[in-house]
Amino acid sequence: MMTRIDKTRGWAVTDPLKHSQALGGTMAFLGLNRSMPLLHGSQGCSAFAKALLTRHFREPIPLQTTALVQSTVVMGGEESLEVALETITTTLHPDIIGVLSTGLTEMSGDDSAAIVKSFSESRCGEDGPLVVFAATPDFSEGLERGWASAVEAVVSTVPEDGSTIPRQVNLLVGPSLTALDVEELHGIVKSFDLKPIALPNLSGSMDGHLTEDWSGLTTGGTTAVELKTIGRSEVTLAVGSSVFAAGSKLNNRFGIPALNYPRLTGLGAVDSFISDLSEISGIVVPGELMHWRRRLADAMLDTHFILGGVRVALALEPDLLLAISSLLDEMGAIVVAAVSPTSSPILDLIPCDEVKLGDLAELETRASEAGAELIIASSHARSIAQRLGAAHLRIGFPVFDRFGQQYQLTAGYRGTLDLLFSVANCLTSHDELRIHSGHVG
Amino acid sequence: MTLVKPIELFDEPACDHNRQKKVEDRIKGCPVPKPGATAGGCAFDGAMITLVPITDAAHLVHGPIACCANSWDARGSLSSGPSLNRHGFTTDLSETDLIFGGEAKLQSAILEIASKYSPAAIFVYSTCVTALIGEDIGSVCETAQEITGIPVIPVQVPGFLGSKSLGNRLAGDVLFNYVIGTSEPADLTPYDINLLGEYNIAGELWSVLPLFERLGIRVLSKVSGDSRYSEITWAHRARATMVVCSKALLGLARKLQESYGVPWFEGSFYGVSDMSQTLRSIAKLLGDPDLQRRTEELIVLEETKAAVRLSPYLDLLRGRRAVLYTGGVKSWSLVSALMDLGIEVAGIGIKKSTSEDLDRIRALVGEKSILIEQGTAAELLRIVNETESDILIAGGRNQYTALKSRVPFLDINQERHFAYAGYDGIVELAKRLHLAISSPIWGQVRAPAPWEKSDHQVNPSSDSSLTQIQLIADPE
Repeated sequence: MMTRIDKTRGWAVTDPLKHSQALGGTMAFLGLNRSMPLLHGSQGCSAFAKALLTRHFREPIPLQTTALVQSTVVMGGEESLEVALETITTTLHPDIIGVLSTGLTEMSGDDSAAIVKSFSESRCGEDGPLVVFAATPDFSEGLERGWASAVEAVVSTVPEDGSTIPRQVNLLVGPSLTALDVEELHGIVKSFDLKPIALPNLSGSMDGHLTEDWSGLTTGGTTAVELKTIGRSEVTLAVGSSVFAAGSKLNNRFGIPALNYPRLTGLGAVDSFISDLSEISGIVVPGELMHWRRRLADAMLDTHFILGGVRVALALEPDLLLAISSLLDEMGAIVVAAVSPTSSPILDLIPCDEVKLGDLAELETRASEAGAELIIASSHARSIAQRLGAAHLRIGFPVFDRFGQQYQLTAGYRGTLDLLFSVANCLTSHDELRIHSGHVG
Repeated sequence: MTLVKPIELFDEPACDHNRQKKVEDRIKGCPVPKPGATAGGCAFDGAMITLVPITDAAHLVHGPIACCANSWDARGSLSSGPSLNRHGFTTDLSETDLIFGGEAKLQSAILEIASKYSPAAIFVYSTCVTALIGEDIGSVCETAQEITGIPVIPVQVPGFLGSKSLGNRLAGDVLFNYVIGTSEPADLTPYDINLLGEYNIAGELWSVLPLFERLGIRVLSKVSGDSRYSEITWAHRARATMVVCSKALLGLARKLQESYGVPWFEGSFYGVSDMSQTLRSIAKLLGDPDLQRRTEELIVLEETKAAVRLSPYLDLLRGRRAVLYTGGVKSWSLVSALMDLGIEVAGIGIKKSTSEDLDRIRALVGEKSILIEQGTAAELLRIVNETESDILIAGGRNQYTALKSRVPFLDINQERHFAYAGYDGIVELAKRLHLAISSPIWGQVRAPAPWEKSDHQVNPSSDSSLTQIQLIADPE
């Protein structure tokens, strides 16, 4: 049976679940090495985004603005964009500048793409940065779409032609994966004697590492050199539906076959990924991976008592909603409410009678009606969980009141195991609290 | 689109760079941000900072998703009661809304919020996009107010008007034009005051209010930390106004004086000497000799108590050096607090300071401190290194600038978790500074790994070093 998608909404969005495209695009550009995302809009567009990203990642966030004011909007913001590109290039010498439009500049009709193109051309031959533009108006769609647009902009403009590089594999990842997830998947692919290039790669930039010197740019991520070669890979592995289109683009342009994985969370989902890798590489599954599979199976046995029958309400971005709700369903938990900020074809696959497109107020209503015992959502849902007396596992964006979020694995055998333990521990510690404060029964 | 004439925005007689004769000089006081090299929030952000602390009001953002989604649930302003202001409300305009106009949707959203949450008032914020397409939120608010019977107040401060502090100031104008003077308090005392620009970050208002209570001073209206909408409506009835660390709300104080004869002064709750000075100023403005006498008594008592509690920290902090990078007024008010603790202020951010603020800073520190005009991360680090400072004190935005360079850091802006106001606050500040500077982590994270030390000799024969380790591990 296909999941019903409820798209009705009230007039006032209350406690938004949705995030802007520009924010999603910024996150994707943060996964490129020595890069500087640039929001073409008012200074608040980037200041707010920067503050929120800083709270989430607990990292300095390179992010600049074209700092439009009323008069520059009226006159056309193109000149401000040129000045910003020039200033960033000469003062910071980045390898990559990721330009993103905002609701303001999409509405005022700036031709940002043309400015970026002519700036890139004028810098051609010099040691200038790669400049990539993605249209990310915040009056349509949301975070996943913005991330996707940024990745698509990169694969459409940066890769160069050339002969196939043997055993090189593109690993395109969506925003549902944490920094350490990307590293985990990268390692898995590598263990099949393949040469993966992860795009974007937050595991090098937003993983929280202390470098020798302070830098105003990202200090890790996919490099410009790597990006130029992704058109010469043997195959593309796309993890998360939000990057399927980028895989298709690489296929159309360079004839690289793409394999799509809506999620890599859950035993069965990981199994097919590993089988494919074995087939692509011609290498038998490494012993270490087989051992992690055995550990995961054991973890499923250990935690199924706790997870079985638990009533869970989730509010997450579509790809993440699918990954987590499917795992819970496969563990015998009951997904009683699922809320997504934006539409996506994969919402049909969510194991819940109905998926609601909506905000966190919707989550509260539905979770309350369905008697949810566990809320899985961002830190913004903490007061909702409190009001409902439910356990709350912080996952998604933003998570600003827990440490180590980028080290929470969710993908692969090991990641699934890690996530299962997090869910189970969240429930047990919540129960202990309830018992101690006399709220049981 | 409705264009706001810049010169009207910058017409603020209480702000000193507006006393310049030439129009150009007046506008110059608030510099235009440079594309590609700008940090800091927009005017909309500033308006929200000033108004969102009104706890029992709903704050509705009319615009596409980013303005609300990126900013709600992020402010450290605490409430002792209602928490309606913690919700993020937005019309979340879509492309279709922008083409056909979002006014009908806005009106429905206001009515929905009014019936679901029964707020004391609804503040409706315009954004760049809705200002650009010329949404008439003023008349939507008027109609909605008629229908609901609840005050519905338009805050037409789109981000692209300018900086955060401009937004603070325009929000003050909104309160003056729409809220203040719309009702009367149940009772009045000769000791009623207003606090402007105090946002109860980390609950720091609560370490100051008990002092007022002991003196019989009543805070009639707070703009706007831990406030209820109603108390702002009668702010015009106070006997004095204190402007707390906020150049941006001077205009509001001036208007209260001009229209209602409420005298005002600028003060600070940070540091022992400024806190005492503030109490004195209030007592003086209220003009009651007995109050002045009781105030002096309280000051002696509190200063003595604070001195006892501070003394262990003074020994630890004396002679330490700090670089302070924060907003305009906070720079001098915090300098004073740091000097009370015996800390040498090696550098001070003056990006948002007026020449009046600068005079105050100079009076406090003389010529010793470096004045930091453009506090880019690299520049701040350079100054910290050059002055051999022990700590960077700044807003959360610069936290990682410091930490990534292994420099101790103290958060002083609106996201902070600790309350530093009043006599209790200065003790907390001393404690937090000490903990930050003297944390045992610094030695560990600054030291290179053993194999990275320049004097580290790698033994050419790995076998023999293995033997050595075994020998140590096994004494036999």
